[in-house]
Amino acid sequence: MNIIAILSMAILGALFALGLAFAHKTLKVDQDERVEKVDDLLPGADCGACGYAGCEAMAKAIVEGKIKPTKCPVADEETYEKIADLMDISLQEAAGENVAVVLCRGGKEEAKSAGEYKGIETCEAANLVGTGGKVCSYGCLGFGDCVDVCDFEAIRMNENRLPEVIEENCTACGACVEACPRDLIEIHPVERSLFVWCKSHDDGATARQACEVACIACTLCAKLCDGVEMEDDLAVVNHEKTDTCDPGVEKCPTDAIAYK
Amino acid sequence: MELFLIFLAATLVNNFVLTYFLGICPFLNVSDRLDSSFSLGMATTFVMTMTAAVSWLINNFLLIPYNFHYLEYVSFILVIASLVQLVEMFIHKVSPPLYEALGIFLPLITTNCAILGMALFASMRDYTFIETLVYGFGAGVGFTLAISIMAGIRERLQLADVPWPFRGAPITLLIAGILALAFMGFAGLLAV
Repeated sequence: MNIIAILSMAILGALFALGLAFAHKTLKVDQDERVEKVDDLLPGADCGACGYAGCEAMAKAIVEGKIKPTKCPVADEETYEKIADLMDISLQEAAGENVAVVLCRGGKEEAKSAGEYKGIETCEAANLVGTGGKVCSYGCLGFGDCVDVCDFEAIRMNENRLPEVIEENCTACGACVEACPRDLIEIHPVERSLFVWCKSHDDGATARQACEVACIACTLCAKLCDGVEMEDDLAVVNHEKTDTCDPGVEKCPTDAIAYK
Repeated sequence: MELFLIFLAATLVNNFVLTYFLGICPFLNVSDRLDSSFSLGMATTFVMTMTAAVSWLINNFLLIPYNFHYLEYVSFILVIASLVQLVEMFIHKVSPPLYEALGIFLPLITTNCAILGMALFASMRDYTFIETLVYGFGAGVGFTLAISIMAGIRERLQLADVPWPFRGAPITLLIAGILALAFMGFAGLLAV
């Protein structure tokens, strides 16, 4: 009796296995063959520590260039090299990381309030109806749309209601860049540290009244260094040129230009 | 008429999610967007109907004749797991965006206890083949109904000003409770 029970289950299982094997052949999805190869190289633990649902999802993201192979905490150096070889990128490139940078430092302490915003609590909605409670119409709205879209817990709101990038977690996927209705977030190589932490194109007097840390378009940094250019009342760092000169960040009257 | 009553009972009166509290995990987790929850509901309905059919065959031609009642769980889980694999491959082939949207919850249909529950209830009640099929389909429709209602409410809730301690899971659980209460109203519809 028990033999029959065991046999029947075994046969049943084999039948289903055959059916699935057949379905696997006929329903095979054509995808970039590198995905499968990268997937084979990854540890296959499906632990999710990279922020994706599993190794297959991460393999796909690697092939699409959304994440670096080195973001897999389980794999070792050898695996990184193999994946980098397969993807035809050097390991330096594989390890060279980009991170998101939030270019506004006017939190609720620095930026002047224009009143209380009581609408739908997302940046997108607040941006539609005006300045979302701050006088400055270029700065961070502080409702954390960028925090909501981040799949990697790499950005959080601090007490000053400004988003803070947690660089170890950031994969430079660019989701927050797209989410920010005011285009305050940019992706930069991690070693870059000089930025103008303001996106306000207001003229000096208006900017100074709106926020303590705004760029007031005094042009001091631009005069000291060729790597900083003035664009419509805003200093903009040209990262290719700043190696050669010093913009004198300590002279900036509002600390709008500063090192990270 | 008998078949219609079985269908109605499985869909409304003994709704698997809101009356038996089976399949709560996808009900709470995939119900934030109407279109993807509806699709998950459809996939679950398909798996349920197929499971009902295959498990009835196994039950009546293998388990009952040889008196293998104790193998019910094992064989039904085998059926469900295989079918879910099949559905997963099928959806991956036919609709990659849906595959992405359902993500991990697609393979997790395997562990949706509503499906195993349905197969066990059906064998317990000695339904005929057609009755089992209708019962499985009805259970799936009931699941789709529940998860779609939930998703519809949660879509609207995104615009509501929910007090912060209730945001996220707490408000979802509250709604689930109220929905379950509402579905208790169907209990008077027919006596099953």
